[in-house]
Amino acid sequence: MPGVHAEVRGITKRYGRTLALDSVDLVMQRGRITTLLGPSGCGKTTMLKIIAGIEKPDKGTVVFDGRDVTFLPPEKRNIGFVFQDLALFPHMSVFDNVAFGLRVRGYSKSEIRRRVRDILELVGLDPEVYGDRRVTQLSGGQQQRVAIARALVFEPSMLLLDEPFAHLDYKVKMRLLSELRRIQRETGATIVYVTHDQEEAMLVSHTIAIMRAGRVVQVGPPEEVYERPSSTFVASFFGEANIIPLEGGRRHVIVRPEYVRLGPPTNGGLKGVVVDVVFQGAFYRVEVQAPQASIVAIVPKNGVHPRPGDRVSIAWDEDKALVVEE
Amino acid sequence: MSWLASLPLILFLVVFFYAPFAVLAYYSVQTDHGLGFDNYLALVTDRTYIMVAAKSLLLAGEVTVATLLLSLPLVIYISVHASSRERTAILGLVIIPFWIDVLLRAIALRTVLESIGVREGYAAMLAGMVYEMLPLMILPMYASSRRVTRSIIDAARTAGAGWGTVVARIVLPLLAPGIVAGSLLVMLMSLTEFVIPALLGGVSGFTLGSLIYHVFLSSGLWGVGAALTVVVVLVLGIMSAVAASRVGGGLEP
Repeated sequence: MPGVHAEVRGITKRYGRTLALDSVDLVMQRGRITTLLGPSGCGKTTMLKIIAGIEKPDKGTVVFDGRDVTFLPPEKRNIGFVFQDLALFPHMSVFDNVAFGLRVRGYSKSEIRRRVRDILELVGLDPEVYGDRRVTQLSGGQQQRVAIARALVFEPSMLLLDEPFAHLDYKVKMRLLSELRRIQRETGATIVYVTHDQEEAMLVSHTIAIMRAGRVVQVGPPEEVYERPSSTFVASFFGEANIIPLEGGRRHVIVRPEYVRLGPPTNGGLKGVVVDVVFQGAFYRVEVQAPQASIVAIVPKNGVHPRPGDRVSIAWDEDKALVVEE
Repeated sequence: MSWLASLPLILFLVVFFYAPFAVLAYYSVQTDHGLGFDNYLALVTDRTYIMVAAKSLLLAGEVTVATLLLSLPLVIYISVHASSRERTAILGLVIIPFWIDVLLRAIALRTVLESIGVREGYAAMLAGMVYEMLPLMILPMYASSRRVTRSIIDAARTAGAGWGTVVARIVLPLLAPGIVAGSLLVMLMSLTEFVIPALLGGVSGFTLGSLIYHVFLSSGLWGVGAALTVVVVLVLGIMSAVAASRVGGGLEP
């Protein structure tokens, strides 16, 4: 059943003199993946910890299923949390790590064994092979899977992940991200995912909340945030963007590189000189120096592509360009 | 070739510990009629030795339990709550008394105890030894407390564990190597402690340490003294080995 699963309202949090969160509102839809995306220090991890109950806000409320849980301790919130440093219990085996949340809930031995088996299979670890291993004997990707299994095994109402794949190499990260989506589809879990990596955010999210300096600056589905960024910050942080200052300097035109068309210099409009051409497999990435700004264009492989030194005209469809303040 | 780097230490230990110990072991089996185990026989047949050894073991056990009980709350606090600045401050407070010589501290403690009406005797000796041994218990536990990270505790709590469960299932098991190492150190040091019992123990102060001192220097019974020393070293060695094998790989961070 869709609808609002959790909500934070007016969350403010200070650490000493630093304002970590400044009156943040956010809605998390049931059975969806909501991503908090922003540069380091923007308050996204603090927000996640407040949702989990690990940190208490100075102001504001946290609501789960219409119920105020702002001051409920984390152990009573029934949430799964995957930590950036994983925080596996080093003195326990894989099985015991995963079983922890079931044991504290007083499940029977046979029930624990069944559920740990099932969840290890769900995250792609053979229980027969890995159950008895110490967590310190596993690779980074395997430890990730254990951390996710440990957070999911007691069927939490929500799964919170704090940059869980930050330290993994690219291929492992990509595979685990698509598996996270699969796990989400199979379990129907509500997920809140924190990352500073826009590519991860794009791959995993149903909804993205872009954060900056303790505030949420834009919320929406990835397509919407990408196509209609509300500021130059969002445009440049989420995907690549050409930002061209207009006269006066306060307003900017934003155009995504794939909408930029390069033509012969005899065409009208903006002119520039090609500075760099990079072959990227599926397309060419062409950098053009225009008087107002440096502009990047994505040029398809079919047809001729420009070469460095060429003079070109630069154009785009009006409806693909956006004018924003600041 | 890395073992070459430890060669100076090995040589030092051979010259100043292992060689003298071998000589001591040789003394212990020397008798009026050649080599034999008469000195060891004397240890088990004379009730004085057994009594003193038993009393010393009991005292060392009590000191160990007392220092452990005193240290645990502090180290649990350090593990789950203290900021890194607080940790350093606490560590400093624990270490600073070590800067003053044990003899001076024992004399000072005697004055303090007398001023609150505690005369020399078993209680004063116990208090003095706990005071003396506390850092030996806290330091290894402190080292283990670094395994207890903030996020491990948060992970346990979000998984549904209350504070009691967190301490019992997460904090104490992670501190275990430090608890074992600290207890072992305190046990070993207490068993042969000599200064504090002599200064604070009064008539109760006759411990294994005092016994070895008297056998060698007052009675001149070098053979018996050597046998006593060999037995003590062997017992301590076995205790250490058992404890180390029990904790096993857990001693590594």
